[in-house]
Amino acid sequence: MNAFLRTLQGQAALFGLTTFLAIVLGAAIATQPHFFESYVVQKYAEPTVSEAAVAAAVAAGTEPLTDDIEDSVYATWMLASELPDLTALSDDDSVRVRSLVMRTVVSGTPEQRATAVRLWRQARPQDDVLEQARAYAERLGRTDVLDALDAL
Amino acid sequence: MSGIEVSGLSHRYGETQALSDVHFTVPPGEICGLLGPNGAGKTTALSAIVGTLRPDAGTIRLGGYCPQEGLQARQLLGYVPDSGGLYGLLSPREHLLLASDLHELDPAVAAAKMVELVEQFGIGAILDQRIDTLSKGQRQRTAICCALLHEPRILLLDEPLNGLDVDAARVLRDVIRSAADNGAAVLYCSHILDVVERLCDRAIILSAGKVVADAPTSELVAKSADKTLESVFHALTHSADVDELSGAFDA
Amino acid sequence: MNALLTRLGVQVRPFRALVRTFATMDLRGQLYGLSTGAKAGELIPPLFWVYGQMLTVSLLLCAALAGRVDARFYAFANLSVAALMVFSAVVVEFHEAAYDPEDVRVIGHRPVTSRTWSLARFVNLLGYVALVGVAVTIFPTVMGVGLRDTDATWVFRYPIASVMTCVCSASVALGLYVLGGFGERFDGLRQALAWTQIGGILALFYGGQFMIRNGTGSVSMMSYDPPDWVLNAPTWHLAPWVSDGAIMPLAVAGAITVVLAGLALWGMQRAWSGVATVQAVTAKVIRPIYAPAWLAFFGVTRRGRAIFALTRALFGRDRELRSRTWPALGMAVTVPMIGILAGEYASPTAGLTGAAVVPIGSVVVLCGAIPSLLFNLTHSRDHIASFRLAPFWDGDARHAVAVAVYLSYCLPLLVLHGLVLTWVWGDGLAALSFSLTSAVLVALAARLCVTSQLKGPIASRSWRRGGTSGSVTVVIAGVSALAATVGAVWLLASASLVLWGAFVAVLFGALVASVVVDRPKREVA
Repeated sequence: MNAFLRTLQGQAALFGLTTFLAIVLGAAIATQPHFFESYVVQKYAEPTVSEAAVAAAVAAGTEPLTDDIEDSVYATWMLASELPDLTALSDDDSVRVRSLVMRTVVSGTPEQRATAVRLWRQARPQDDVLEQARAYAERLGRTDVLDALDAL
Repeated sequence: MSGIEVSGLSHRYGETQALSDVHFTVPPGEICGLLGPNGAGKTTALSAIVGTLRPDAGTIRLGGYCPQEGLQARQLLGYVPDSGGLYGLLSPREHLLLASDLHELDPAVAAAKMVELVEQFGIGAILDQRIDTLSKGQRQRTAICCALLHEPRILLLDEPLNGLDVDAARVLRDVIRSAADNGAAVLYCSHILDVVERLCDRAIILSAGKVVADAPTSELVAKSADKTLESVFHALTHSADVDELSGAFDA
Repeated sequence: MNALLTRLGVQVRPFRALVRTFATMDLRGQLYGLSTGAKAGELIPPLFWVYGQMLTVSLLLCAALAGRVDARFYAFANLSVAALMVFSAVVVEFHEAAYDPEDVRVIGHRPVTSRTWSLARFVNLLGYVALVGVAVTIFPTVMGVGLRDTDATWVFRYPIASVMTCVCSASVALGLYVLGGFGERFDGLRQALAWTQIGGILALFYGGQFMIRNGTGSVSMMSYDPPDWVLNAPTWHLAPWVSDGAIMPLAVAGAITVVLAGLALWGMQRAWSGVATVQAVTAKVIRPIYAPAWLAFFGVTRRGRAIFALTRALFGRDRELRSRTWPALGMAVTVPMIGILAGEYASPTAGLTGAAVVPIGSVVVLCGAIPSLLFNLTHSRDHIASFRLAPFWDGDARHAVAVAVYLSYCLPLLVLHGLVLTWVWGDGLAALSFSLTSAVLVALAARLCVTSQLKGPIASRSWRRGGTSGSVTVVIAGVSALAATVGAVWLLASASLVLWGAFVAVLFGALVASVVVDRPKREVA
């Protein structure tokens, strides 16, 4: 074996075999997109603000809401798939939440993406974030997002 | 066709004047020795002649062609550098084939010449060994064969006897004489004065970048006190007044 | 083919002969080729490791991007990394394929035009570029087909873009090499790039990991809304060809490739004419290196000072040794960088927190780098240093070498680290006390390393290739483990001034003892 490896043919075989294995590995990975999807998970930290405080702040129409509160609102939505009363959430306050929705559409798992779209569709049916999400999903062929958008 | 013509050759390395207005010619059929102490400018002169150094001033013609313009001069040139000049990772056979291809020799003619040189210089047994595993003498033989393969009309040899054994040295001397007899102009650079004395028709002695003697070897020897080239060389290269002495030795 | 070469003004037969010769020599060479050369014990040639390194980086990048980005960004990222990898490979490794100083001596006087030589050398270089090009193209091509927004045409579109990118990158690197006159000026760039390459790989590895794991989808968002530097990158403009089959980017890239390759060839031709006719034999004046008398304060004997000077000269003048030495310190530089950027770099005196572990960790990592530094210097057969130091290898020499390594590399890094700490912590006293402790701990590690390699160069089993493989790994593991243990004690001792003082005193005592014990025994008349 060692003697063979020392020859030109042996070295060519070494490179050739490595290249072949790389192609096989690449092909094997390419056929398993779901494997990667499972790692594209958005993590939501435990809300740093209590639910009661969030509800109170939203209900009171305190402006502007802090980032902590908005993150907590969004995390609560995503984790619980529950929609709090959004009537008090002003357009200014929703800027950050809108960016969080788009971030999920771009980088969340299919389930997270569908959840985010569904929730936001319920909250702001006319919001242009939904149009951006549709354009993005059409460009990338993300049927889960399109399905979620069309389902409602 | 003329041989080697060097005219007004000057070159400076920083503060050091390596060559200063050097003139000489080596006509076809002549073997000319180029002598000088260490640092006299021999290697600089040879580098300029083979075209690997662009001198500050002066003109060089090899067979009537300038070595730095076009390829004609290099086609005529055979050069044995003082050391190296070979790729260590090739074998002598591969090197000879490379030389043949670079000079675009007819393959059949080149093969016949190769056989002749390999036999003459006794490198048949090492023809397929890597050059960096060969002895100094074997490498020198290979370099000589590579320089002679295309039967050059201009032959430049820088310390060609380095590392050669007695037999190979004798073969080389015969080959050089034979080349000159066939019309080649030979410039032979060496420190071994008795070989120069016996082999060369003429000798040029360089000292501090200047030509201090340029005369037939026999005349130079005749003018010295003990009739040897060594005493001429010593007198010329250790004198305070080089110009005065060189006048006495000039042909 | 022959007609084309002739039209280009290339001598066909000499060109073919030169290409064949260069390839033959490369296959026999120690750096790239078969292990049938001088190093009979090696089966895997260094070129294979380069190939494997490229494959690995490419695989990691593809895996990191899969599922996260769209096709254009995927193509952009892979093409950009391919360009960088090929560029650095040419600058650091393969520039020797483009120019061998022996060429002037061997063929400088032969009837070969500079164009013929240039093209032969360029083709030789392209052989290597093709090989690494394959390595950086396989995974993006195969795995790219599996992206959501691609189809089967990706399989030929990506390789075409990759070939252009690699040739452009290699041509630019070659152009710089040519501008540097094939020599000294280029070596500076080579050193800088070797160092940058290490930093880049570490930053890519840790930074990429950080971006992917931070949960905010930074990579995906970058793809969705690319920053300006991405939008201005040439590879971003070529990517639409790969993602959407846009013809214009392909045409422009093709034209740029031809122009860059042509310029590189033209530059080579010019440079060859330069080196082939200016083979000056001027002596280079170099500054002498002395060992100062104050080294006696470090316990270096008079004989040791001579070895210290020799070691400093070897470090200063052996480029290969230097380029092997810097990578060993890569982690020691990267850990503080990442710690500071992540806001996890607190003073141990401020409390026993996770953030306080990182600065001590960076010192431990520096201790772990010392075996590699020493190994390259004293045990690696790849460097002349080992052969030069071998005859003197005793207690004096070991100590002098340890001091030289310490003063040349460790102490400057520690001083720099101290200045950074002062800035980051905003507490000069804490930074000073930390740096002093680090200085003693690292000095002790250096001593430990030299005394652990008692057999010395050549006779030692450590006589293997490379700086971080072979039996040196045992020493690295040992020193790192010990340094980590001492680091843990340091962290605990930082709670009080008295404990810290006692800790430093013990360290210092151990350092002095290690020097005294290792002194060679003088013969008594």
